[in-house]
Formats: sequence, C-alpha cells, structure tokens
Amino acid sequence: MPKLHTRLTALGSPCEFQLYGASKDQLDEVAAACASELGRIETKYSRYLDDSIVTRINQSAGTGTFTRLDDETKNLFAYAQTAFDQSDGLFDITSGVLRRAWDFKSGRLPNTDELRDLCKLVGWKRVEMRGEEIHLPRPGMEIDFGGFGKEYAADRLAGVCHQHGITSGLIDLGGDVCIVGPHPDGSPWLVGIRDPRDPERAMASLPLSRGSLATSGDYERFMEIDGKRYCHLLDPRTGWPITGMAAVSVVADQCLVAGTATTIAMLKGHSGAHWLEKLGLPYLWVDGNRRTGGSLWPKRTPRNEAPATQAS
Amino acid sequence: MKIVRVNNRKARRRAGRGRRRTILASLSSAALALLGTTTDSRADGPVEKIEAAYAFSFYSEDSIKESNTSLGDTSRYEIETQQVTVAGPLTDRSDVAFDFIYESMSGATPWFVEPDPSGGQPVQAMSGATVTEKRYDGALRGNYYFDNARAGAHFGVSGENDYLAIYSGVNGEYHLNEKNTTLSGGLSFSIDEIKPTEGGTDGRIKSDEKQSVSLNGGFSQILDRSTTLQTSISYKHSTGFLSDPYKKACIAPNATCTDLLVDNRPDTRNQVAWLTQVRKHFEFIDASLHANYRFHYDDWKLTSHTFEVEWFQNFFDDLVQVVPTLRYYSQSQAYFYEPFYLSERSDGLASSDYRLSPYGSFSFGAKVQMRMEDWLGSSDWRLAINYERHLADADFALSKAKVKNPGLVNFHFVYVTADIKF
Amino acid sequence: MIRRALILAALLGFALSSAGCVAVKPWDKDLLARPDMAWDDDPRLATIKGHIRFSKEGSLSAGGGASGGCGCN
Repeated sequence: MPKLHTRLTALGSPCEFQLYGASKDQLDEVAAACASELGRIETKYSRYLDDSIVTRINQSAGTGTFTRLDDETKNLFAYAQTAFDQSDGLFDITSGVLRRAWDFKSGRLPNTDELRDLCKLVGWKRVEMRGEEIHLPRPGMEIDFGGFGKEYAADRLAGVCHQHGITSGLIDLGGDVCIVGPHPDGSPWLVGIRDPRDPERAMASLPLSRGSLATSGDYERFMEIDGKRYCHLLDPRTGWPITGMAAVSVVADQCLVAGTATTIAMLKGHSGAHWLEKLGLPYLWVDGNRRTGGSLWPKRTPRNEAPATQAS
Repeated sequence: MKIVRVNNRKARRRAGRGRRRTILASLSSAALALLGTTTDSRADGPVEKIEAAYAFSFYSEDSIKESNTSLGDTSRYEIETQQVTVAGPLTDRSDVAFDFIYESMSGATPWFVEPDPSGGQPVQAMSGATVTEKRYDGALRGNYYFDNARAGAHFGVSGENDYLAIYSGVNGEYHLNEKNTTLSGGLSFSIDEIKPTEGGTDGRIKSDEKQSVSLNGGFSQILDRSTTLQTSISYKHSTGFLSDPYKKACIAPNATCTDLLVDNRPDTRNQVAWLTQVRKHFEFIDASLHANYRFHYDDWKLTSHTFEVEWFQNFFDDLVQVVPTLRYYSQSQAYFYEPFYLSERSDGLASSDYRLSPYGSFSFGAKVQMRMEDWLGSSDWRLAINYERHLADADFALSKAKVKNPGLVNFHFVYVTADIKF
Repeated sequence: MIRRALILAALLGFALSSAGCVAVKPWDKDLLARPDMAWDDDPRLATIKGHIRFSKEGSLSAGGGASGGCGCN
C-alpha cells in the first residue's frame, strides 16, 4: 500500500508523518492539505509573527483596545479556561512571560527582582473577556498557545487525514503523537517514550492502534546547577520550575486532552501521580528519583485502550 | 460557546465537589467543542451544498396614454417569467449549475413615431396586440477551482418563435495578496438568428443573423474588514443585423407621415461599459450598503450613466431582510435616431425606437426576504419578494432632451423566489 | 465625455492605490462572507433585471456577453 513518510520542522519542533493511502495521488493531496493546515495554524497563532492574532492581542496589552475573536480563537480560549479550572490555576496561558527571566543556556538563576515583576503580569484570571473580545489589562502581559498548540494542530491534522479518507497512519508533532489508524494489516504502531535522563533512548514502547499519546518532560529545556535540575515548565504562581516529575505520558482520544493532562500532571509535581490516578486515563510517569507508576508500564497489563473512537 | 469564569469562592467549591468525576469530561467536551468549530472559511471554493431555486416574476408596462397614441393598441407589454436553477458541487474542486428560463410575453409594441396632426409632441403608432409568445433559455455553467484561482465556462441556448441565440464563454479569477485582491476576466460570444413573424412582407426581412463578442476585465479589492470595491470594464463588438425588424421610422417633412422606412441601424456596434461597485457592512446596525455606478459609451454615440443604491437592512439576527433600492439611469441618443425624419438620411440609417432616444429613468424598489441557515439539519432556505417601479421620461435625462419619444415606458415589476441549499 | 471618463478612472486608480491595501487576515473575513456582502446574492434576480434593462435601454447589458433573446419588443 502506498506510504507517505516525511519529516519536517513545524511549530518550532521536529515533526514526522507516516500515512498509508489508496494511491500516491491521494497521499499527495493529503500531504498538501496537512502542510496547508499547519501553515494556517502557524500563521494565525504564532507569537513570533507580526500579523498573527496572538501578536495582535499581545501588542494591545494595557492599551484598552479589545481584540475581536473569531470562532476558532474564542474556542481556544474556552479550552484554556477549562484547563485552568481543572488544574486549579496551574495551566495558565499567560505564564509565557516568565520565560524572559529564565535563560537555560546561561547556567545562571534568574534575577529575583525581574522574576517578581514578571509574576505581576501572570494570571489568567486578570484577562478581560467581553463577549467575543479579549483584552490583556497590564502592558507586557502575553498569552500564547504554546502549551497546547502542537496538540491542537495534531488533532486538526488527524481530522484532515480522515476527511481525505486516510484510515491508517501516525502523526508526530514534536513528541505528541496522534494515531490516524493502525497499520493496514491491523497491527498497532509502536510509540517509544523517551527516558528523561537519557532522551536518545526509549524507556518504553507502547503499542497504539488509535487515540493519541502525549508526553511532557523536564528534559526538553533545562539546566542543572549544583546538581539541581531547573526545567522549562514554570509554576505560574511562583515563577520557578516545577520539581518532582521527570516525565509523564498520557493516552487519550484527543491529543489536546492527552497533552493538557501531561502538562498539568508535570505542573502538579509530587501530587501529579495522584492527579493522574483521579483523571482516569491510561498514563505512565517517572520522577526525579527514577520511581515509576501508571497503567501504561508494560510490566503491568498493557491497557492501552483509548475509550470510544478517535474524534475527528 | 460561553466562557464561564469560575472566579468566586462559592462557585469554585461547588465545582470542586464534583471535580473528581468531571476533570476528564470537562476537558474532553471543551476539546470536542474546539475541534468541532469550522476554521476560517475557504474564500473561494466550489459550492458545498446542492441548490434548487425557483423564481417567478411579472413585468407589466403601463398602458400608453391615448393622447400619445396615433393608432394601435394602447395596452403594452406583459411578461411572465419563470426561472429555475439547479446547482451543486461536482468534485472537491469543481461545481456545475443549470439555469432554465421560461417566459411568456404578450402585448402591443411601438411601431413608428409620427408628428401629431394638431402640432403637438410626436405620437406613437402602436402595433396591434400580438399573440402570446414564448421564450425558452437554458444554460449550463461550470467552475474549476485552483488554490488561488477559478476558471469557468458557460454555454446556453435561447429560443423564441422568431429568434434563436446560441451563446458561450469562459471566465476566470485570480487571487493575490492573501486573497484580498482579485483580478477577473472573461471572453464570450453569441450568435443570433432572427426570423421575424410575417417576414418577407412590407419590407420586413425574412431572416438574418448577428454575432457578438464580449471581453471584460475587472479588479476587486478588499479595503477593510467590512468594505469591498470592484471596478470592471466590458467591451462588446456586434456585427450583422442590429436593427429591429418590427419597427419603422416616419419621413414627415410637413407634419404628416409621407413615407415609412424600415428601422435600419448600422451593421456594427462597439460598446464599452465601465462599472464600479462598492459593498460596505455596518456592524452596529446590521446593515449593508451596495452602491454601483456604470458608465457606458458606444460608437452609435449613445452614452449612459447608471447609479444604483441598495440598502440591506437585517432584523432578528439576519432572519429577515428588507432592501429598499433606488436606481437612476440617463442616456443620450444614438446619432442616427430621430422621432421622425424630415428627409431620409444620406447614410440610409433610421430609427424611432425610444430605446435609442435621450431620456432618463428612476426605479424605486423594495425587497423583503426571509432566510434560515442550518435549519432542519444543515439546509439553508430563502424566500423573497421584490417589487420595483420604473418611470422613464425625457425630462429625467442629465442633458434635457428637446423632443420626448412618446414610446417611453413605465413599468411595474414583481418577483418572488424560493431557494433551498442542502 | 471620454476625457471625463479618463479623469474618473485616474481618480479611482489613485484612490485604490492609496487605500493602504492592508491585507485583511482570513480570520477577519467573517463580515465579508455574509450573503448581503456578495457581489450577487440572488443571481436569478440579477439575470431578470439585467434582461429587462437590456431590452428596454440602449446600453450594454450587465452580464456582458451572455446573450439571451432579442429583446426587440
């Protein structure tokens, strides 16, 4: 069966597509449609592009000018609100400004004054929403969809594939994996999970026929000072990186839900394992002391059942 | 989707109690809602739904005043028209449509103009009322869509008992500047054959032909979120028999018609029209404004200006729409036109047709429409009724005409339509 | 007459070029997608009106080339 296998960089991450199609023409069409959708999302939501809607919102921070939201953007904010509520305020899309204080390449801890000033700009509760418009009240405040943008894109791309009649394939955007469907012979995809202390090596390999798998870890951007690891996942309340968890992986129908779950679990640090148990989705975690847990570990019964069918 | 801000203690505690069971449910339903929203609509693609539309219209000219008539029937033309369209997507990059028109026409028509025996304004001689005539017109059109362009073609046939026309053409659009600018163009042609009733008698031709070629080019631009502008130029070249076989012109050197010449117009005509249109939406009152201006010039020296304004006022979240319209038209005469002639022209041309005379007209109208989208599943419905009143007079022209043509017509026009997309 | 038309064309060209041509983003085109912002919301009404005007006036029909009937009467 004709297969498409491409690697590219999109949304700032390495991405991989493996899709099976009925014909090369169909695969070419799907590839073009996926590239087009990725480009659309990037152009619209990238905080690096001058005329994206995110940049427009951020540049109006503190000016009193509200920005009108279209349906898609409005629903992205509604999702961010839900994630904020379900994480007791840990999942906060205004926390991106904190990155200004942290330089992981420098090996130096941030300036505490600068960090304190930046913390004043963080707080999803401060964001003003009126009807279909949004305003960030303090100059310097920022929102960005980096926390779930890739997962959203993965779900959208899976939808594009289904629309084009593709029922077998895998989409990997920077480690967040969305299964379009099992191999043509029905066999599942084997998705590897990186060892957080040896990221080139897989510590587990999960067979997945459908659904999505997302992973968050403290190894993506970090620095170690005096034996202590400082990673890029920052607690919006304090401005300091979370500690406790080294990596979390979750399986869900939608990549959005899987990705939000892994991020929230990481942000909860030591109580992340308990939160994952309450959540009810298949998961696995490993903490800074190499302790592990979760239903997805192959030692235990490999329960990778994603409830119901893949949402398109 | 409403965003509920959980920012007071009581609500948070309430939410907290049920929280354990609903974290996954909350996230999943928010994710599904987000993934269910349609993303920014594709600006230009094939129609997505199948459409069936029907329209019935009634056109009725005012009777000509007895005092303006010298002979013939005073009741003028009436036309009943039925239009049907069936359209739909063909592939994911193309669509097709079929339009059919059936018209039924009857009434007396202007024949020739002669001086009033009592020395006043010229009067119109009318034909006797004709039997009901029928016209059929069927056309097929299709479009193919590229990522930033569209190519289209059409082909049609129109037939009456005395007339047959075959027409066809191609057209296209090209989008630039993130689809904010569109260049458009088209080329079409038509071959017409006329076999007038009672041809071969009284100087009337038995049969003849005319061909025309049209070329048009346009430029449209999105000016801002609520405004668009389009300007286009059309050129049409016609050759062949361009006269009206049912009309004559009077030679009246001394206030009486001594000779009747058959309507004879040049056998070529080059026409140019320049049309500019604006559309603007006013969000705070939920209304849109359409304004058009068209300038026409041709080598028969007939120049015209058309101004049209339409105000689309929406009510009840676009369920009901009321559209008052106003149109002003003014034309100058063709160089060879006269209500009647003192003597025959050296070039042999002659026409007393009011359509080549200098005059102006006002049209007032209103449309009331009801529209429902995504009803009963995902079908769109529309019902509309439109009325227009047209008044023509030589005094309405921008440059006052010296002599009025008595054949100028006022008419009522009523149009009712229903269409459904599913 | 021609001179007047050319002056109008030049003014229009100037107006268009100085309109700033700020590209409206796809997600800001919701108002433009409204049916009452289309060039032609009811093609059948446009056709029949165009046909009447072509038959009753001396000018070029709006549709350009698409013929259909003598309109002699």
